[in-house]
Amino acid sequence: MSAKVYPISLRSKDNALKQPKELFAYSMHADGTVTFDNSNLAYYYFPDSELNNPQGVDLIGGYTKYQKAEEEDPGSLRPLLESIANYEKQYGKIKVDIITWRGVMRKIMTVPHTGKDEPLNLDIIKFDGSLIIRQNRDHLLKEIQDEESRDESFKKLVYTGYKFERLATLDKPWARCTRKEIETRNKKPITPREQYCSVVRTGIGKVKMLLGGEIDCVWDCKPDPEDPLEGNPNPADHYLELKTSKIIQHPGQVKNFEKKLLKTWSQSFLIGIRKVVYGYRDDNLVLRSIEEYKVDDIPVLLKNSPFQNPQPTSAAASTKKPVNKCMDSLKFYGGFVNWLLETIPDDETKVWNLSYDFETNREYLTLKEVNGSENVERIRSTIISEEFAEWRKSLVEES
Amino acid sequence: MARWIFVRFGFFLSTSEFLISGHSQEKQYATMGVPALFRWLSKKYPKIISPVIEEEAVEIGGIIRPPSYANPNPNGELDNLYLDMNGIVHPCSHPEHKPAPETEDEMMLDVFKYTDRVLNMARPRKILMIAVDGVAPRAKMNQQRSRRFRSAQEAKLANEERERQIAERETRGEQIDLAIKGKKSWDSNAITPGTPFMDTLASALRYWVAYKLASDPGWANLQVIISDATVPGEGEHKIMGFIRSQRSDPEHDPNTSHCIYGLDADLIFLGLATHEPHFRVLREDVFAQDNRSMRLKDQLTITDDMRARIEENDAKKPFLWLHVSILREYLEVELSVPRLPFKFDLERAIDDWVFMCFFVGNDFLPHLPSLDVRDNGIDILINIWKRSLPSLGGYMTKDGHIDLGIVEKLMQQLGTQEDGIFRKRYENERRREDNNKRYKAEREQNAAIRNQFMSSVSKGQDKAPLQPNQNIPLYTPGGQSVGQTHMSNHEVVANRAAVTIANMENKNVAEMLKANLLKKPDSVSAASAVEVKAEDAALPVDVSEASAGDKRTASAISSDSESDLNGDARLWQPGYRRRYYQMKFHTTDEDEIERIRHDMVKCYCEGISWVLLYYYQGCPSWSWYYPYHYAPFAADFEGLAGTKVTFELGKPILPFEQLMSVLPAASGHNLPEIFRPLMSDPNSEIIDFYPEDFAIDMNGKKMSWQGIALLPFIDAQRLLTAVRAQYQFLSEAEKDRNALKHEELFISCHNKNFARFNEELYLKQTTARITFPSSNTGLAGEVYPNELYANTRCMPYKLREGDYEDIPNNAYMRIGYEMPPKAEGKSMLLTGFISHLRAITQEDRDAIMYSGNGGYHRNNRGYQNKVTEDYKKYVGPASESMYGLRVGGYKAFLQLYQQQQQQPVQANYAPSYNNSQGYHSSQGYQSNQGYQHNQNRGGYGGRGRGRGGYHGGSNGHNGGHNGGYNNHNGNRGSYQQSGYQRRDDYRR
Repeated sequence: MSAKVYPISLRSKDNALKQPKELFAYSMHADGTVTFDNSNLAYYYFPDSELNNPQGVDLIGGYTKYQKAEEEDPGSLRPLLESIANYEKQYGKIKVDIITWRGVMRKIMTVPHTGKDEPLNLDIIKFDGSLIIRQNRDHLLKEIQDEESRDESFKKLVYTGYKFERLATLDKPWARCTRKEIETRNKKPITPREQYCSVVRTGIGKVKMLLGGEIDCVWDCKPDPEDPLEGNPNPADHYLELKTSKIIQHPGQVKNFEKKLLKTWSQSFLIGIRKVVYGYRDDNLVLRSIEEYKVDDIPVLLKNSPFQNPQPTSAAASTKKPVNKCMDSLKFYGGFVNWLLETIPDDETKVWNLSYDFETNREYLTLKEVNGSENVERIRSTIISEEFAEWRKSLVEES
Repeated sequence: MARWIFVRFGFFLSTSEFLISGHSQEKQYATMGVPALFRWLSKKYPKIISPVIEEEAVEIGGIIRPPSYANPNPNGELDNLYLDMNGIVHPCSHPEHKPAPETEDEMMLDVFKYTDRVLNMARPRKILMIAVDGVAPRAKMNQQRSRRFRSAQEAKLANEERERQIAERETRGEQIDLAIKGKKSWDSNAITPGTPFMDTLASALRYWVAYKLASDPGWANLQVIISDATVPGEGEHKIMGFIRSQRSDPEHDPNTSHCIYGLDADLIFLGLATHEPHFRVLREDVFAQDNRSMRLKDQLTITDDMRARIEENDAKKPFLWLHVSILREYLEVELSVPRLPFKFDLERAIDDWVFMCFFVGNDFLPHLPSLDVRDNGIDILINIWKRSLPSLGGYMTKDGHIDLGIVEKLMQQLGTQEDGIFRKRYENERRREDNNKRYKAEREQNAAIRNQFMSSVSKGQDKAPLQPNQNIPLYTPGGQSVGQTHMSNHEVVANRAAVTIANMENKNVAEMLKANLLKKPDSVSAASAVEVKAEDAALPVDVSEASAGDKRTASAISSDSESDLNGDARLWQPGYRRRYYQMKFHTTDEDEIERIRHDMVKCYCEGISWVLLYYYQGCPSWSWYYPYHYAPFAADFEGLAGTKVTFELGKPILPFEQLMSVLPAASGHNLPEIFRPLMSDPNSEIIDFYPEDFAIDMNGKKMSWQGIALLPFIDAQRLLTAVRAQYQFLSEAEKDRNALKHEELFISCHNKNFARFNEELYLKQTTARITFPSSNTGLAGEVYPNELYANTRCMPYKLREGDYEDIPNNAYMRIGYEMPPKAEGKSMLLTGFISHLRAITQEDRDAIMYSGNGGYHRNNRGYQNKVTEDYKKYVGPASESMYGLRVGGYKAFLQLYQQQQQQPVQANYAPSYNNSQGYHSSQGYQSNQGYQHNQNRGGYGGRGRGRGGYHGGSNGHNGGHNGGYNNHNGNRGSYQQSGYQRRDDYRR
């Protein structure tokens, strides 16, 4: 089959995301193991008064001692699939059209607006009735290598993101922490590989998806879904996304920030996170301000911003009407995802590659089949873990 | 040997203390006198008080409709209300300004009415907690004991005076109503856990709550917790424990608004200690003019009209809010000390402030001689703290634990000032006395002139004397006659004991009278009646400061420390420390004094640790108490660094055991008969705990109730053994009154949890206990079935007065309730707390920062300047985010840009913006309109948050990019403008 393309200017009328509902969550540990509990769940804590310190809050402390753990297979779906298998063992097979990381979907969603800065390269297979998608491993490894070769200041920036997360969270609810634990939380080492992930069921249009995404922390606590008195709560209502950004001092910086905000919105919206907290740091990597954002308010905020440029590639450019980029992204996403599902045939032997590169082909996303059986095998093995394949096979055999 | 006034039950203290109820409200005797502290706070921080707005009843078609609970509250909305019920029961059962209810059942109806009014003012939407004092820790019992002994005394005197006045009027030919005549004043000591009265109260409260839940639509979602006298702990501390327990639930709403009703000034500190900033205290207006106690003679001659009028006034008497939230604002300024070597933490500074207030006056320890709340004691201590905080090295308190080493440093500083404090106090007093004397002398002169020229004018029956004045001869210590007193018959009766004793013992009556002088500063005639032609040579006067010609002042007459009658160690004179210890402990042995001093300091340190823990973490020990009647001097606090204080928790005693510990024999009728002989029979093994006579040490004070009752400390072991031996003879009902019980929760059938609780606990009985978090209804805890409710069909109405009916059980639910398990309290704000709209202005802040001590005197007489501003806007969270907008953030930038667009004439701002094309405001993006919308929504727009907006913000953006951030040690400019001026002041 020849390559297919999808214009990034296409919009569908469908812009209603099916309300994401968490199916289950798991904790992933630095050694790669997965446990099905809340051990890595963090709790938000950063009092306003701490920002009153005239020296600000240092986000670079501990950098010299920080050792970035090597990730052998970035973008791997293994923990996600393992957790799905675990769930299915208890509750039966989850029937969805797409299984992937939330980050992958987010990248797709914001292609029209931010695709210039983010080239896309995804591998897709059809497996047991679902599309399984992951970022192409080679591409990702190269990206990481490029990052490694960048200068120190970039790495420090990355570090400040982690540091902010550490400073703004506690590992137990506040009531159960001692004063000492709270006051010395900035001394605790940073372990980005310790994560808490939520797996949610969502969808758009006719497409049903299962997305896994890392959760930074909860705002207050995570309610027990089993407890009937809680009234069937959605845990996602309590989740919080933490971000850092450079302080904004003149309009030129606003545009960058708004782009980031759009990405943040997409990321949160996809799995149902309702609140985002941004920490603003200055050039000396000192935290100066914190602001809360309700995810629901971001689209309007962006739309009404006095600094928005209209989308250059869409028809709206001429009218200069403020564009709601978030809704726009959603419409693109809806259209694209449905197209993807319709386009990829039900052939489990094939592997597909979806790519977007602003430099080479800025108008279209390209979907093509991967050729060569070693390639196919190799890529297939990066997507589906053996255990998961075994598990699904056993299900089929049972029935 | 120092001399005390020996008190028999016949000793009459002063006319102004004549009250039909026998004694004024218990709380008034607290060393932290309610009005004193309130007055001090309201003068210093005027904006913390605002009047309570009550909705008027509406008349529609001839029917008066009371205001509906469900209506929005004109004072701002409230989540939780806590009632310190003793503050309602006392004024309803023995009011001061009106005749007392005839029967106990009537008292209950008054309680209902009063509580209803309080509830309609506050209108809590989530939780109502009714806390009645239960069994108290031992530390409190000593004070309770001393109060009750004295109040029984006064009750007896009041009754005697009543009889006397009735007799007097009858001899004049007046008719006294039989009903009034036969009435004996009610023993307010019945308001102690374990008495039949408290039992009546408990069931009356439960009835009333069920009634309201069943009938008032505004109560539909209200959750009512009743913690009555059978649950151990003082009311306000049970409330404190409850709030602490809710805070430990992770789903607790950090913006919960709380309000506590009560008479105690302590409640203000309690509010601060919770670190729940949306906190208010509700109480009657202490500043209102009409608060005089009803005088005895008015009570005897009261008519029905007068009664009606009093009732009407009562229903309208004003209440006020004390906003702890605004007090926190003031304290943020007051307690910000510049140049601290450690991090400033407002919550901990507030704890230190609370600690210092407790230090100056609390219910468990006598205050230090140099620290008197009426004498600026708190200010003195706070100023020392502010000055020395940098050198103290840290805060004195941490989550209710005290660092004694740091406290010692503070005490040492106070110690150096003690001499001066005593001297100044004495001087002020002298000056006041002199002024008084002069004023009285003038008045008498005028009166004499009037008498002379108008003696023929009749002054009315009242002035007609019934008996000749008794003249009592006066002698100097040297034995010379110096004239006679002209005491009115009042004073003769009053002083008959003294006179008798004096006559019997042939003592110096002048000294006796001098003692009386000191007790009745406003008793004019006694003072003026003393004609003392003192012969100075004969009197060894040893106070050089005595003003010339004024021989009548007490100190001038005093001969030496030995004959000092009122326990005054004359602290203004050198050598006071030695004198003090010698006088109080009746010894001159230096070693023994040293030993006592050392022990006193040790116990006092335990005491202050105990008090602080009591407030912040819950009672640390039920059995600890301070074993002395006096406090040491600040200068005695030394060698404390590294001392660790530990407590043994123990457990609370039972109600009858407490009654036996605090009641005098005269109040024995409140106990089951079986115990009464223990208090009165001379052969009782514990009779020494119930002296009929006990000394009162005035300790240099003027007001009688400030004197210290020198009752023996009870030996708990002996008492408990004697009391417990009688338990086998108690009836079932009596045993039930003696039991310690638990809290109960009452909800209406509309409550979200009702269905589940009903089904699982009562109908199907599938679970024994249900644990629930606060996300559903704002209340967290555990519930279990209540036997009484499960086995009955209704809540019966048991009172003999009033027009109420039984409440069927399906209209409400009654369940056993347990608070979430105890967690260590932390003095920190919870995440998500959003501040209220700031009420104090820069002017207020300057007044506090720059005028030092005298600042608060300046232009306000406190609450007398009636507040007209609508305080509703200061109640509750003022924005949607817990963070203030600061320069650097995106929203902040948008707001700044927005403002700048509206004032295009900002010369130094425009250039940097002109650099980037397309961002000029006029480019048709309708930016202002578009943004206006958001601005009004999120509340991050101009709501005038006191932290300052961005008025001068433009300056910080000079040159745009690098602003002030690159060298953040240098240019503070950008921060100044963002409103953190105050913080920068640390660098003064």
